Amino acid sequence: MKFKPVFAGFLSLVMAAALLAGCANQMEPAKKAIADIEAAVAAAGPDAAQYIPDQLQAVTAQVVDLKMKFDQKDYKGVLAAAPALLAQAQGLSAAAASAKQAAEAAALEAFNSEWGTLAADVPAQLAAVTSRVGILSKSKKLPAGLDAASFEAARSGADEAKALWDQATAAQAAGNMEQAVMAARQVKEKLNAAMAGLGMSAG
Amino acid sequence: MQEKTPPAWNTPLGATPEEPVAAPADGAYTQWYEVKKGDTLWKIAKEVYGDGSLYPEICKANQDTLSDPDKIQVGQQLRIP
Repeated sequence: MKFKPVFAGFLSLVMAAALLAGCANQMEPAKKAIADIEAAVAAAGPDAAQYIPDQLQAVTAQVVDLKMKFDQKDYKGVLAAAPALLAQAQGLSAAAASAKQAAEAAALEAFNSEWGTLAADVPAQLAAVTSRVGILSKSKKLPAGLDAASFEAARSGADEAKALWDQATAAQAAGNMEQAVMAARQVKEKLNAAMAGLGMSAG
Repeated sequence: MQEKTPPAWNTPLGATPEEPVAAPADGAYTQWYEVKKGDTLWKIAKEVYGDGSLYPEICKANQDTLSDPDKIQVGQQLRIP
C-alpha cells in the first residue's frame, strides 16, 4: 500500500501534463481565430471608419477583449467567443458598403435639390449683372458711388461667373452634380459680389 | 465740358414695331426705380448709369408700361436693366 501516494502523485503529474498539452493545442487555433477576425476588420477598410464608426468600434472593442483573454492564456474562452465575433467582423464590409451607398444617395439628392434652386436663380442674376455691366460699359461716365476699379472688378467678376456657369451646366449635363453645384456656388458668390459692387439690390 | 441736352422724347425709342422685344420677366434681380418729382428718363439714366444718353435702355426695359417716354409719373416703378 506504499505505492498509493506515489501513484497519486504520478496521476496528478499526468493530469497536469494533459491539461498543459490541451492548452497548448488550443493556443494556435485561438491565435488564428484572432488573426482571422482582425483580417475581416481590416477588409472593411476606411469605409467602415467613415460610414459605420459605432459598429466598427463595437467590434474592435471585442477584439481587444479577445486578445486579453489570449494573453491570459484563456484559449478556450477565445475559441468560444471567436465565431460570433468573426461573423460580426465579416459583416462590417457589407454594412459599410450599404451605409456608403445610402450616404452617397443622400448627398446626390441634396446636390440635385441645391442645383434645382441654383438653376432657377443664377441665370436671372447673371442676366441682370451682365445687362448692367454692358450698359455701364457704354457709359461715358460712371454713376456717382461707382469708381472705375469697382466697376472693373464687377465686370471681371461677371465674366468669371459666366464662364463658371457654363462649366456648371456642362457638369450638370454630364451628371456630375457635385462639380455642378460647387461651380454654381462660386457663380453665386461672384454675382453677389458684382451686384454689391455695382450697387444693385438683390430681391 | 457742356452736358448734352436730352433728345426729344418723341424720337422712336427702343425696338421698332417690326422688331418687338419682349420686356424681361420680372424677378428677384429686377432693379426698380421709383419716379420722383422732376425726374425724366434722361435724369434717371444719368443717375443710375452716369450717362443720360443711355435712357433708351430704360425705355426698352419698360416697353410694356411706358407707352410715352415723355410721360412718366411720380411714383411709377421703372425697371432699370
